[in-house]
Amino acid sequence: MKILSIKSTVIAASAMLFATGCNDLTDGFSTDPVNITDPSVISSESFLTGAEVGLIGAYEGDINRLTGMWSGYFSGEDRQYIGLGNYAVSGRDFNGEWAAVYSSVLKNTQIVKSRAHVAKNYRALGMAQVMEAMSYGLAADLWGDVPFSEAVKYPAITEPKFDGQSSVYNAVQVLLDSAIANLALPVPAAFAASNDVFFGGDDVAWTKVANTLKARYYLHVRDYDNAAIYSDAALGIDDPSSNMMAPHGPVYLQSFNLYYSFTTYDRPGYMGADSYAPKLMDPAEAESRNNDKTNEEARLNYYYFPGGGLNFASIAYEPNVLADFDWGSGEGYDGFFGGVTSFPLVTYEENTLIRAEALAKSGDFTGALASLNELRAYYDAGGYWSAGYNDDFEHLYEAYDAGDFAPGGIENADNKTPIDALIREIIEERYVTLIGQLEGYNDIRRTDNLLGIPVKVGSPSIPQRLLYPQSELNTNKNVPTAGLFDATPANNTAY
Amino acid sequence: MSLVLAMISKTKLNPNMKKILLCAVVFISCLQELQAQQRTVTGKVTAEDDGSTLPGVNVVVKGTANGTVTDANGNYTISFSESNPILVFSFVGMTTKEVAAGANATLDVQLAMDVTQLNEVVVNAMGDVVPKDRLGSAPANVGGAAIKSSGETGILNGLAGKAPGLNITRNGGDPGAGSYIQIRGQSTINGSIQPLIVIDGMPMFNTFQDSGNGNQVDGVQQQSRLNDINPEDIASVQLISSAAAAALWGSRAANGVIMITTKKGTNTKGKLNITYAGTLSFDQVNKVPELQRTFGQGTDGAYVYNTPRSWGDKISERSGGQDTYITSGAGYTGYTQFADGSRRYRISQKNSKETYDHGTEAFQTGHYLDNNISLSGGNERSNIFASYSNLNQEGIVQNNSDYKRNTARVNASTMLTDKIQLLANMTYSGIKSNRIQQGSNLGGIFLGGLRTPPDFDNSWAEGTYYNPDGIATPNKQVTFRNTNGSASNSGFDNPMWTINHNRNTSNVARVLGNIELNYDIASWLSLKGNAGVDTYTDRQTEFINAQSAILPGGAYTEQTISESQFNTNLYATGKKRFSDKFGGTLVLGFNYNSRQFNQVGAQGIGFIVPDAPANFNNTDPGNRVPFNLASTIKTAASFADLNVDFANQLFINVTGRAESSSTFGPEASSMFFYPSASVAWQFTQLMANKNLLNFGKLRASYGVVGRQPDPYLNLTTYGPTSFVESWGGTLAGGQYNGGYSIATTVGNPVIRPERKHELEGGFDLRFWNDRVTFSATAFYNKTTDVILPVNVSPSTGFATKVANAAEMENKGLEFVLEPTWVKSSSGFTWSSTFMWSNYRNKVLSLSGAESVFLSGGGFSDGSSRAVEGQPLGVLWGTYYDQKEDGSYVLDENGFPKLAPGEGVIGNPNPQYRMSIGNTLSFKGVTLYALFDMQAGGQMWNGTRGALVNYGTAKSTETETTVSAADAAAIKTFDGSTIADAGRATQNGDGTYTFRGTVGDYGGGKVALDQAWYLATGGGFNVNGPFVEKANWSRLREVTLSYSFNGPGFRSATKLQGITIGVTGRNLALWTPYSGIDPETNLTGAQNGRGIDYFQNPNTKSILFKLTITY
Repeated sequence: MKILSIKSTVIAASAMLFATGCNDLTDGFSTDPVNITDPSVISSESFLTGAEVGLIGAYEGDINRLTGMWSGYFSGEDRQYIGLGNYAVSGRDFNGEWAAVYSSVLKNTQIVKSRAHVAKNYRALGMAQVMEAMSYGLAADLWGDVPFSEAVKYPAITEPKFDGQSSVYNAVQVLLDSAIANLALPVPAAFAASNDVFFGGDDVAWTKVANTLKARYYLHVRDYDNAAIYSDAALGIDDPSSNMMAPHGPVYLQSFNLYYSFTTYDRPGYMGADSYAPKLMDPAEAESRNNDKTNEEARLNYYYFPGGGLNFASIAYEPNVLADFDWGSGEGYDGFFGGVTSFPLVTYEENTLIRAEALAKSGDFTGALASLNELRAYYDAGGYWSAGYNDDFEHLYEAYDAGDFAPGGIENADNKTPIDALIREIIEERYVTLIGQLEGYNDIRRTDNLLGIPVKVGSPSIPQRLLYPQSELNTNKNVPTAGLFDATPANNTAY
Repeated sequence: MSLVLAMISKTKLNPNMKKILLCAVVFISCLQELQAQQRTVTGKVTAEDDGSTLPGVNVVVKGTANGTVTDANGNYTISFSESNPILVFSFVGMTTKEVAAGANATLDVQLAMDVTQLNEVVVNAMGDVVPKDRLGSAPANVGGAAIKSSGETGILNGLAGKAPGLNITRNGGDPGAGSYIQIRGQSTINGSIQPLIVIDGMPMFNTFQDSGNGNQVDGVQQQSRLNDINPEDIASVQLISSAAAAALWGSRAANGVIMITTKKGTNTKGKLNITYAGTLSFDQVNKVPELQRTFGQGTDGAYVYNTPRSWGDKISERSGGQDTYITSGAGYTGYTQFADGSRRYRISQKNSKETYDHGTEAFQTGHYLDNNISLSGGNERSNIFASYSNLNQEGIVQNNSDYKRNTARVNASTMLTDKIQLLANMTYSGIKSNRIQQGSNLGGIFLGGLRTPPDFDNSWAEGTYYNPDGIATPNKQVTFRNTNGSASNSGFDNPMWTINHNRNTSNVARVLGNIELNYDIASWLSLKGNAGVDTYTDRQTEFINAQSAILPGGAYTEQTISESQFNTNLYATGKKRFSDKFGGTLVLGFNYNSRQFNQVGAQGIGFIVPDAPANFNNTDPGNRVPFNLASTIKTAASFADLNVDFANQLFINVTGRAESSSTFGPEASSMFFYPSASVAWQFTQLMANKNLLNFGKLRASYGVVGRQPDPYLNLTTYGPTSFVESWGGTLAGGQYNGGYSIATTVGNPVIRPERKHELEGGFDLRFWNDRVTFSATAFYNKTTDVILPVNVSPSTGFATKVANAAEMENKGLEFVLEPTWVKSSSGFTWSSTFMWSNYRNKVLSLSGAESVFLSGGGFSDGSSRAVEGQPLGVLWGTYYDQKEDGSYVLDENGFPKLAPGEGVIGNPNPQYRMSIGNTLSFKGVTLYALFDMQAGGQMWNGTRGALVNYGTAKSTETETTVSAADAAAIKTFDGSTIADAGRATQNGDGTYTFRGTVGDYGGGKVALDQAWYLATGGGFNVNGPFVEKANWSRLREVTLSYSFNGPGFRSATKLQGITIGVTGRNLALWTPYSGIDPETNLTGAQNGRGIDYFQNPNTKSILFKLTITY
C-alpha cells in the first residue's frame, strides 16, 4: 500500500512536470512565418489600393458580362454561358459579386477609415467614402434591399439586417457629401498619393467623381432635379481627363482587363456578341441608329469585331478584344475589351448624359439637347475610343437640332412628342455609350426597357434584379425573398 | 536519484533535451521498488521445436505474486525465499509449464507450442509486438507478401481489399499516382482524412501534394508519399482502426493509424541470405467512357468547320474519299503540312467516312520492371537486413508518363551488452516521375481527346503551317478546333500533342530513419528510446508549351516542396506478475514531434522565345511570380499505458495521453487529454469442451482520439490583394502599386483539436481447432469540435471563419470469416477469407451552414460536400425542380426546369464493401484469387455530362423515328417541333428521323435532341441527371505461383528456393457505371469523393514474377 502511494505521488508529480514541459516545447510556434497577421505593419494607402482593386473587380467582373448578355451587349455562345444568357441563373451565380462588394471593397475601406480618423488622413477617408458609396450604390442597384447599417461589423453583428433600398440610396448620398467635405480638407504630408491607381490622390478629380456619383444615384431614384444639379459641369466630371478609369496591363492573372481575361484566356468562345447593341450601331442592320448626322462605324468597330474570328467563333459579332501586345493589332487599335484597355467606372460621357436625361425628364428640352450635343461634339472630335478606329472607319456626330425630334424628324419617325423623342435618343445614346458597363443594365430596368432591348423567349421581361447570393442565403436569416423578375423598389414606379 | 536530477539540471543541455531526460529519469524512479532477496535462480527459456530463445515469458513462483519476465535473449533471474518452489513459465502461444526449482541455481526450460492457440501477434500503437488474443480491439494485419503479390507498385494500392473497413481509391492509373485511404468512414470534414502512418515506430509523411490550387480538379495525378517505400521491404502492415487502440497517438489518430513494420534480419547463425525478386508487368487501360462514332463535327446535322461540337452530319451518308479543301480564294486560310507530306486545308465539305477511337488513341501497353535484391543475416547478438530496389515504369500514356523509383534500406540491430540493444533502420528513396495533364484542364488528354469529333484524326497533331501569304510556322499544333493550324489558340490541346509537349515532372529524394535503444534495466523494468527523422524534398516542374491551350504563351513553374519531421518516443515499461493468475504492465512515456513544411518556387508566364529551354529569364519580368510557404507544427505529449491480465482470460488495457500542440489557438486550453480503455475476455478458458469452439473472445473498448487544427488558423491574415472573379480572371495588388487586403477568412484564437469518441465491441471465435475463424466488430463514434471553415454572412465582410463547429458520427459493422475448407494429408489446402464491412456516416451539425464544400470537392457545379443530416461527401449540384409530389416542374414545352438553388444529388458512400479471397495450394503450387466489391455508392459523371453537350457521348448516337403527326406535335427544347426544328429528316413514308430520343417528364412527349443537350439537358447546365450508380465488383487479383524448394532442388542448385508466379491485377471489372473505372477520383486523395471529370483512367495488368532465395 505504501509502495503504491509513493508510486502515485511520483506519477502525479511527473505528470505535472510533463504538463509544463509539453507546453514549453510547443509554445511560440503559433504565428505564421510567411503571412502578415499584424495589420499595423501595412500602410493605410496599401489597403486603399486594395479596396480600389476590389472596386475595379466589382464594376468590371463577371456580373458585368452576365447583365451585359441580358442587356443586348453580348451573347452566351458556349456551355454555362448559354444558360446564363437565357436568364437560367441561381443564387450561386451572384456569390462573387456580393463578396466583391462587401469583402474586397468595404472590408478594406473600413480599415482605411478607422485609421484615417486617428491619423487625420482626410484624403484617404474621402477616397474610401467615395468607394463605399459606389459599392453600396452598386448593391442597391442590383439587389434592392441590402445590408448597410449592420454590414461589415463582424464579430459584433454576424447576420446583418437588410436595409430598404431607398435608405441605402440616402446613405450613399450622405457618404458622398461627407467624402466631398473630407476631400476638401488639407492632405496630410505623409499621404502616399501614388497608391491611388485612379487619380494619384488628386482631390479635385475625386470630388468631381463624387458629384457625378451623386447625380447617378439621384437619377436612379428619379430625383431629376438633384441629378441635374450634381451633373452640372461646375460639380460633376466636366472633362474626360477626370474620368475614373480602371487601368490594366499585359499580365495574365494580374493586370488584364477582366473582359479580356475571360474572353481570350479563361473561357474563349463562351461569350460572343450576336446581340442587339452591335446591330444598333451597324449601318448594315435594320436596327441601325445611324442617320444623316450620325455614323457609328468607328465606335462599332471599337466595341465589336464584326464577323467574329478572333476567338475562333464565326458569329455575327464578337467583343473586340484586340490588344496590340497579344494580337499585333497595331498602336491605337486596342479594342474596348482589349487586354490593356482601361475600363470606365465613372465618366464625363455618363455625367453629360445624366444631365441631358435629368433636364429632359424635367421638361427642359433645350438644356437637354445642349448636353447631348456637347457630348456629340466630343465624339465628333474623336470621342473616347482608340484613335486608330477613326483612321480606318467613318465617324460622324453632327449636332442635333429641335427639328430632328419634331414629329417626322430623323429621330422621331414614329411621331412621338419631341421631348419623348429626345428622351429616347438620350437613353439610346446612354445605351451605346455604356456598352459593357453596369449602368447600361440599370438603364434598361429604370426606363422600363424604353428601347425595347429584346427579351428572351418565354420570359416576362429582362431580369429586374440579381438574385440574392446563395452564400448569404446560407448564412443570414434576414435575406428577403425576391424573384428574378421582381423589380427593385426604385424601379417600381413607371419611368 | 536526486543526484541524477541535479546533474541533469546543471548540465549544459538544450532545454528541450534536458526536459526529455528529466522526464525519463522520473519515470524510472517511479517504477523502482524494493525486493526481498533470499535465493536466486537464473536460466534461459527456449522454444522446444527450434530452440529459439523466447523473450517475454512470464516466470512466476507458484502461489505467490513473485514473478519476472524473460529478457530479449530469453534469460531470466528470479529470487524467492521459499525452499523448493514451483516455477510457472507461461507465454502466449506456448503450453504453460510448471517446474520445481529444487536446489538448482540454473534452470533452463523449453516450452512447447500450444497447438490449440493461434499464435498471432500484432503491433500496438507504440510499435510493440503483442498477442492479438489479448487485445480489446481488432486490428487488421496485412502481411508484406500480400501487398507485394497485388502487383501494385505502391503500398497503398496493395492494401486494397485485404483488410476489413479499409477503403482505398486511387487517383487514377497514372504511374505513381497516389491514393485516398480511409479507415472506418470519414471522421472529419475538411481536415486531412488520411490515417497516420507509423513505420518502425516513427511517424512518416503521407502527404498528398495538390497542384497548388487547393482543389486538384486539373493538373496531374499527384503521388502519395507512402508509396515512396519499397513494398518488398515491408514485413507487415497493420491497421489500428479503433480509437481505443490508437489513442496513444492522440491528436494525430482521428483517422486511425497504419503501423508498418519493415523486414529485419534473423538469426541465421552467420549465414547470409540473399533474395532476388523481379517483377515484369504489362498494363493497359481497363475502362474508358463510351463514345459515339456515327455523327461528325458540326451543328444542326451539318458539318461546321472548327466547331467544338459533334452535332454534325451522319458520317455513313458521306460520299467517301478525301474532304473538299479550300485551297485558294474566298475562305482560304492557309494549310498545315504534316511530316508525311500531306496537307490539311480549311475544309468546305466533309467527304471522308473514316472515324477514330478517341477513347484509347493516346494509350499504349504500359509496363514496369521491378528488381529487388536483399541481403540478410545475423547471429545471436546482431542481425542485419539490407535491400536495394529499382522500379522502372512506363505508363499507359504513350509519352511523358513514367515513374522510376530507387530505394535502399539497411535495418540492423545488435546487443551492445546483454542488457542494451540498439536498432537502426534507414531507408533512402529517390523517385523521378513524368506526369500527364488531366481533369478540368484544356491540356488534359481526356478533355481534349473525348471531346474530339469522331471524324477528326488526332494523329495529325502538328505540322508546318503556311499562311495565305506562304509564310511558314513550324511545329504548329493542330486540333479539331484549329483544323488547319491557322488559329492562334487551339481551344483544347490535341491529346497526341499534349503528351509530347506539356511536361510535368516530380523528383523526390527522401530519407527516413530511426534509432531505437532498448535497455533492460532490471528483469521487471526496461527503457526504450526511439528517435527518428523523415525528410524529403520534391522538386516539381511544369512546362506548359507556348502553343498549349492551357495557357497560350506558355508557362514554366518550378517549385521545391520539402517536409521534415523529427519524432522521439521515450518510455519505460515495468512488468510485474503478482501471481500466475494476475499480472500487469505499465508503460509511461513521452512523445515529442516537430514537423516543418516549406514550399518555394516561381512561375514565369509567356515565353519570349517559345521553344527555349525552361528558364525564367525567358519571360517578361512582370510575368514572373515567386511564391513561398512555410509552417511548423510542434507537439509534445506524455502518455501512460496500463495492461492487466487476470486468470489468463481477462485482459484490461487503460491508456491516456496528455498533449499540447503549437496549432491550438493561444486562448484555447493548452493541454488536451486522450483516454482509452479496453477489455478482452477469453471466455473459452472457462469451457471444458473445446471440440467445436476452441477459442472465443469478447472485447469492448472506448477511446478518444483527435485531430489537430492546421497551423495558423488562430490568426486573420493580410496579404497582397488578389481579386479573383468567378471564372478565373484575376487582378493582383502587386500590379496596382502594391495593394494589400484583409483575408476573407477570420482567424480563430480559441481553435482547439477535434475529438473523436468511439465505443467498440466485438468477438473473435475459432472453431474446430482453428479451422474456421470468425470475427465481428461493431462500433459507434462521434466526432465533436470538427474544425470547419464556417461560412460567415458575406455581408459581414468575411466569407469564412474556421471554427470547432461541426459534429458527425460513424457507425459500422465489420466481419471477417476465414474458413480452411480443405487441409488434406496429401498437402492440398483450400482456405478463404471473407471480409464484409459497412459504415453509416452522418453529419450531425454544421452550425447552421446549408452545405460545406470539401477540400477537393470538385466544382462549383458538381461537388462533394458536407450537408447536415447527410453522409459526408454527398454529391451536390443543380437538378431538375420537382414539386412536392415528386413530379417535375415543367416549362411551357414540357421540359423540366432547373431548381433555383442547388441540393443533394447523390451519395458516393458505399452501402457495404466485401472481399473474398481464396487460396488453393498443393505442394509448391499456390493459386490465389481476390474478388473485391463495393455495393452502392454513386459518382457524378461530369465527363458524360460534358460529352452529352459536345455530342460525342455514346448516348447521343441514338436516332429516333416518329410519325409525321408526332413530328408535328412533339416539341423540341428550343420551342420548335421535331418537324420544324430543321434537325430531322423526313423519310419516304412521311415519318421523321432525328438524332435524339423522345422523353416524357410528365407533361407529354418531348424531343431530347441537340437543342436540349446544348441547354438544360447537358452537363454544363445540370448535374443531377449525371449522377450514376458506381457500385463495382472486380477480380482484383489472381496469382498463380510455383515454388521450387524441395530438398532435391536445394541440394542440386545450392539455392533455398525459386518461386515463379504470374499475377493478373484488375482483370475483370463489373460495374453499371458508364465512365471510367469508378474506383478513381478526380480530386485525388482529398476529401471530396465521387467526382469524375476527365481524369486519366485506371489500369489492368498482367505481371510475371521471379523470386530466387539463396
